[in-house]
Amino acid sequence: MTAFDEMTLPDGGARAVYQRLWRWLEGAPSELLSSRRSQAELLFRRIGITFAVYGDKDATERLIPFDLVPRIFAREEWQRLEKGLVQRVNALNMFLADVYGPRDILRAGVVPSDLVYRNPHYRPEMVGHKMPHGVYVHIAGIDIVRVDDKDFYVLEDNARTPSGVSYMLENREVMMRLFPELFHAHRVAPVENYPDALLATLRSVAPVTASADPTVVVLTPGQFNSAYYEHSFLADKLGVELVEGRDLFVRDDIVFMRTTEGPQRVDVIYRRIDDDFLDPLAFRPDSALGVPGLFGAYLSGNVTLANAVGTGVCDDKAIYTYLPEIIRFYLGEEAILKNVPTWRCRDPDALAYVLEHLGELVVKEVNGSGGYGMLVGPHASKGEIASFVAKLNAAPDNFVAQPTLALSTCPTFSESGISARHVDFRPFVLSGADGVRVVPGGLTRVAMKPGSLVVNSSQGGGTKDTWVIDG
Amino acid sequence: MRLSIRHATFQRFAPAAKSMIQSLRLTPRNHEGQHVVHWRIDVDVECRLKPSQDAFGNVVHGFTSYGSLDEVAITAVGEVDTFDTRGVVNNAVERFPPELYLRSTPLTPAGRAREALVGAPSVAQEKEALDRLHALLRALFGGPSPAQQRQESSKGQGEAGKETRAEASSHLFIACARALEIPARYVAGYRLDEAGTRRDGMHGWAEGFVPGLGWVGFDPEHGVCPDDRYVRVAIGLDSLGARAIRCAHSGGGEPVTNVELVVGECRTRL
Repeated sequence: MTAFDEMTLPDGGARAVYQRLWRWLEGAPSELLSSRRSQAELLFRRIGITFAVYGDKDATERLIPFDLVPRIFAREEWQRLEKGLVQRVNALNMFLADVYGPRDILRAGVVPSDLVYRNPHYRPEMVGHKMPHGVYVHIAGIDIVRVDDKDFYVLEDNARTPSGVSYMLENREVMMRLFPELFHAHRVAPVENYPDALLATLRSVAPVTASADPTVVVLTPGQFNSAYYEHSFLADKLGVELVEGRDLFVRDDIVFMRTTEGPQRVDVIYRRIDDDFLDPLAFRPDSALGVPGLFGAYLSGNVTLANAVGTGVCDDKAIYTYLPEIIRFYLGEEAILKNVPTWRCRDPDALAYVLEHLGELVVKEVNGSGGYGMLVGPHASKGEIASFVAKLNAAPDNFVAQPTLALSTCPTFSESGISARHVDFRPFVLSGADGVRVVPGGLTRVAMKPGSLVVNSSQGGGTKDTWVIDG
Repeated sequence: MRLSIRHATFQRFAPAAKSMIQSLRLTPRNHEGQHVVHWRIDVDVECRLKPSQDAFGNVVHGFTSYGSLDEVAITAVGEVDTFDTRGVVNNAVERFPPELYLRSTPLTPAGRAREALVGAPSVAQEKEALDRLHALLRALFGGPSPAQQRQESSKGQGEAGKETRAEASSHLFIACARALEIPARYVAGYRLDEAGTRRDGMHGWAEGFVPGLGWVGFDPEHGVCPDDRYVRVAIGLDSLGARAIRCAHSGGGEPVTNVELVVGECRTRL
């Protein structure tokens, strides 16, 4: 399987957008790159950017591998991608407002109603409550892959609490320190304004009862969460308080934060806690991470949660397969970003096909994320395949399957110099009262092992800086 | 029949709690099988009871209270006229299509249902939904039911271990019905018992959806369909969604809860 390489052309030259970087890499001595690499590692250690891997007992935190070679999009490519992202996130917000409101799309039969009603992330509690400005997904992470120089494919939508944006910001900062000459040679669109854009988005969806200067906080499950670094990083960049559940309390449906100067009313909560743990009074009673009464305050319209409760229904990989229809239904447009062709295992014909071709497909749980609980056919052992056959037969509704895509590759620094590695891309899309915006950049994840297609950081993937350049 | 109900819950905190927030699903609503004559809820601490409705149409009262709280009494008192509709629930508040009640929840897992259904082949032999539900009721009632066995084996296992007998048998019934593609849900309420009128807490049973008939109640603990001895209070996907009292507090010790529940028949009408 030959993959599209984003830098190198089949004739050995470089694509226009990579020309300058290619010449620079050709000319750069390998010692220079190695020394920059150890500098980068030092910088990341000093910054302390780490993440935790669930199920790994040895290390609670470790550095995520960082690759020095930037990934580059041309401005024109970016504009097309951006348009597609805005379209998609608009449709997701309209879909959520609909399934928690009049349910037109279910009545019209566009999306099978059991996919919504039986989805564990569909929250009946949210029905009939309108969100400020109709925004449910304030922060979306849409995972994008390329297979050629024309199209962008959406791999999955992350509408719950997408993480990784801190890497976008940190990677850029480190790159600017390490390679000022490259930034001099390229006009790279800035991503540093992401925290400002995020804060503006969060403030724009404050409840009508909030003051002109609404109080925003970041709610974290605590330091044992794999993305705790990002929570504290974002709170710091936003200039708002980082709180845990016990720092907040609810009195008569109003949320307050305990401060040294007494209780302070909270208007917007950027929460990085799953729905289930938000409020022991409304959801899991054993949750010690949440705030009792928070959900009541939320439904009363006294506080805004970003993202809204119940957005997980559109992370579902079975709902994903209907996204082109969803976009057509609400916007009357064709989807600009394509979906990866997907077999819905709930459909008997599709299931039969999937079972026959397990060795060449990627099988995913409809509610899974982070690369946990999936089968990559070409790299799976016989035992893994056998266990998935059993799982598929037991509960076909829980799975979808996709062809193993020839993900595009990017030049990546390896032991043997520069070589091609598979990448994907997660841009971060913000939706507020004033519309949808995308910071020109995102998180490029790269599989560090040659030939590997698994880019998840929990499975040993690394990251790259992503550049959007003019001319 | 006119039922008189007095449901008092006493929570004791030692040491005293500093603040608490509670949500109460203690208010029955009308449908063709029951008319609420009068009903009131009293909480003996300083607070404001805020009424609202949850997504399923249950009446919810929420309150927060502050200060040194060592004992709280929550009392629901009222009278309800009931009529025997053979379990059929007509004209109740319905917010969702029956389909929603096909989803499984952590308390009503599909795996448990499959095991139980293997042990009850009579259920699958029936063709109609109503017959299946009745067969299921018969299969689960009497003998050492799977519900009881599980309750014995799951003692001390967190949330599941705290299930009452009524909850355990209803959850199993619901899970089995859903496994048979019949929408089913949990109902929390009151029941007039023949032997004495005291119970340790609210009763619970299940409702299954029968096309053409609507929602029909089934009480797997007693092996009958609810009649005029039953008062429906709240519904949910499982007992958690219909729980009478959910409480969170800060400061103080874990509360010790005692319930005094009296369901009686008013024999003289004024």
